[in-house]
Amino acid sequence: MMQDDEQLPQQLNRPPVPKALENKIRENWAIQCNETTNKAWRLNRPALAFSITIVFAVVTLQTVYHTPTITKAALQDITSDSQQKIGITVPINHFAKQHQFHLPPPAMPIKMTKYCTIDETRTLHLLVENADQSQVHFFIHPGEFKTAFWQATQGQLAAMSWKLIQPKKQLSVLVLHTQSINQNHLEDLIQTMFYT
Amino acid sequence: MSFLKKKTDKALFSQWITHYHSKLYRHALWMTGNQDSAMEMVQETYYQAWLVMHQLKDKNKALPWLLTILRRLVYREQRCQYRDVETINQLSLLDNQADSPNNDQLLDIYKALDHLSATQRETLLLHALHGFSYQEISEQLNVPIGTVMSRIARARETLRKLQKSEPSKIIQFNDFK
Repeated sequence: MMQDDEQLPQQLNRPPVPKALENKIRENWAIQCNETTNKAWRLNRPALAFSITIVFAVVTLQTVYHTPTITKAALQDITSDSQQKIGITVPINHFAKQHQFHLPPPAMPIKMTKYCTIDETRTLHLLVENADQSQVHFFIHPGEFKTAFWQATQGQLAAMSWKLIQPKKQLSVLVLHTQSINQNHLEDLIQTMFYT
Repeated sequence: MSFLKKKTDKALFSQWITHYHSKLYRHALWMTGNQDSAMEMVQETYYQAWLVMHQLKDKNKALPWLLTILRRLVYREQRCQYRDVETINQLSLLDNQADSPNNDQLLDIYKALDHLSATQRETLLLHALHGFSYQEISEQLNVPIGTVMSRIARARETLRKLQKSEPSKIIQFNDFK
């Protein structure tokens, strides 16, 4: 029976709501939530595997290309020398003769020589400066550097490039140079000094 | 952050179940005239709502949004199962009290509403059952407010005519303004 505008809403609200309805909705929802979670997990699994692979690759690359400590120590030594404006020159003819390498050609004069210890390794630090003011630092060690086999043997550090070479079994050289240097000149210099 | 958002959504959705399942059920019941169908549609409504809950920008407008989902389900159902006399005869508004006077009255109301078009019935329910304003109904149904007003006016007119032609039903719509 509907008698007026106020009664219609009352009449429309009269049908009772089954008590089981809310429970059914909640049961369905719980199942749905579980399915959604499982589905999300299934969908995310490849993404997770991909992420793990990426992390593993990054860690591996970082390890493989990790700069040896000796290179960092050498750079610190160069920086320290630069700040203190050290210009020592020690005689190295005997050292060169003893360890069978040549001094640089006159076109690339030696600006500084000194003995120093980097990363607990005794080296001869030799600075060569080109006419264009590009610099090459040689850290010459009669023996082998303490670097792990997986570590990088060349790279860049700060504003300098570096590489480790071992011309002879008992002669290792760490070369650090400014990036402005002509690569051909550098290779010629290394060839002349250590491989002839 | 995503975890926290999910937790908030769950709490909110749980409230929606508590607060709106009765309204949705009655809406579906008056639209379909069948208790089982109404229950299924309300469950389906909540199922779909949870799937696309993130699409609802204004969480304060949950009821209109849920009604929109329900409306689509009802229309889909009605396309499959045309409402005819036989359907009306199978009404189960109050299954457990089928012979009670209350059920007869509800059946009368349902039959009266059944004389309205689906859009008129829907509009009338939004206004009379849920208490939405013309403006709110206009936004929900995405029709001009004038259309809402005319639908309700026509619904009233139809119910009045029905009352005149079937006075024995004792359904008095004269004062329904």
